[in-house]
Amino acid sequence: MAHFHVNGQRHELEIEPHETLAEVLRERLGLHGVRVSCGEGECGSCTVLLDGLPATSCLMLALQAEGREITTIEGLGTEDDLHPLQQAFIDEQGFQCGVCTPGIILSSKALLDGNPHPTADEVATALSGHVCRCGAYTQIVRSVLRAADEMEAADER
Amino acid sequence: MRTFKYLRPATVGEACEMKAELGREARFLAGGTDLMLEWRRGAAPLSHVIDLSFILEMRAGAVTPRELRLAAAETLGGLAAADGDQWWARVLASTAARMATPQLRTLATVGGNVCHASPCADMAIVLSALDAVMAVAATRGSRTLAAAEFFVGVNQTALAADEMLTAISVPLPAEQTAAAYQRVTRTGVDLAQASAAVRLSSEDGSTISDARVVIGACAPAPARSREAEQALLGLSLAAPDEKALDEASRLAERATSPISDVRCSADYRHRVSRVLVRRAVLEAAAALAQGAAAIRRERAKREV
Repeated sequence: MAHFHVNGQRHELEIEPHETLAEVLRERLGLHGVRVSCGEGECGSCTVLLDGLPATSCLMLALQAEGREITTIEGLGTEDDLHPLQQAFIDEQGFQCGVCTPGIILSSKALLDGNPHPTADEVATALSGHVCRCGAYTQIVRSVLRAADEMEAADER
Repeated sequence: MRTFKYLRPATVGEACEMKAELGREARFLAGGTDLMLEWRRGAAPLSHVIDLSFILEMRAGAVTPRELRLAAAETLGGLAAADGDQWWARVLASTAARMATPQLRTLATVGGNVCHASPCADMAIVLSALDAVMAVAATRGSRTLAAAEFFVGVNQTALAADEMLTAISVPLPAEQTAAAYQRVTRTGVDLAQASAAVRLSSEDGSTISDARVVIGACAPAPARSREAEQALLGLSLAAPDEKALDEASRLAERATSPISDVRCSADYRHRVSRVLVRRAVLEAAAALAQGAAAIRRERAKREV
């Protein structure tokens, strides 16, 4: 039995050694916010947070993640109470088709956790491992900067 | 179903025993970002995965006045986030920060980059210029290998089937030292088309007394040029002689044997590798000159 900590919950699962973390999250736990697009670590859509840091879940064996804290987009906010990043992506139209969005929001969360007031360049660098085929990059950067502002304003309230 | 067995050793000794018993088709996994890609493409047989990421002793580096010991399973993300002010910390962090993507750096390790031995493996190039020595373990005994002996060819190292890399030690020269890594890529997250790593030392704080020059992605293994290193000796740090710089870059390029591939042509690699050597020498010399000036100021203050 393998033990996983996902979005604050503990799971015990019988899995095959070759199953990737992305497969286990999607197919065993039904967390479909984890998107697998290229399957080769190039596009970033499968990004999850591993102990708070962005990681490519399609190239990682699930067993490698045992004992580590895993966060997917489902663990960020709820439908009634969105995370400021999620709200900012809606407000700034930071996505079109939405396939890349969960990964981008998670990488953005890791960025803001370490650097609450990034510049546009710092946002772009932090998101350099994500491909958005709709080409919404400008709005994506704007969304992250807006979320940073909103989070600061919320802190001051 | 195509699958493999998964093993999780707790110590280096256990990992070595597993590898000795299971042979070539058992593979070590550190970050897994290369191995999983290979497996998915069916490129190589894989009977067992020996996961090294739970071995604590492989994650603990150390530094003494004379030597930096990098743990083989240190992640590139960990290195990139290190904010030490020492010359070696700066070059390792800035190199790591340019490699792959943030999500891959969380998984990928220094040892994995070195053992995969791609001709464009950034860490292999930089560590070669730093005179790194690889610490290798096996049940029959451990040994050390200089970088020049370790990198044998494209994706080939001198590691035997039962051996594993456990740490990388970087000697820290007594003289003032600086290093720089320059590379060109098609996009920010692609592998290098060509690169150059340079380490310079200065005994007197104003001229180059020792140099290492290594070109990457332009030969099957990191291409060191002793001729170029000789040509740099005695050059002024603050204002290196232009002709000598040109000559050193030209000599360095002679150590390469580039090919044309999907990233660029051999001709481009020939031309750009000279430029990169020049840039790396200038960057390291400037850092060294700045460091030397700071030390002189400190001394002057103390004497007053």
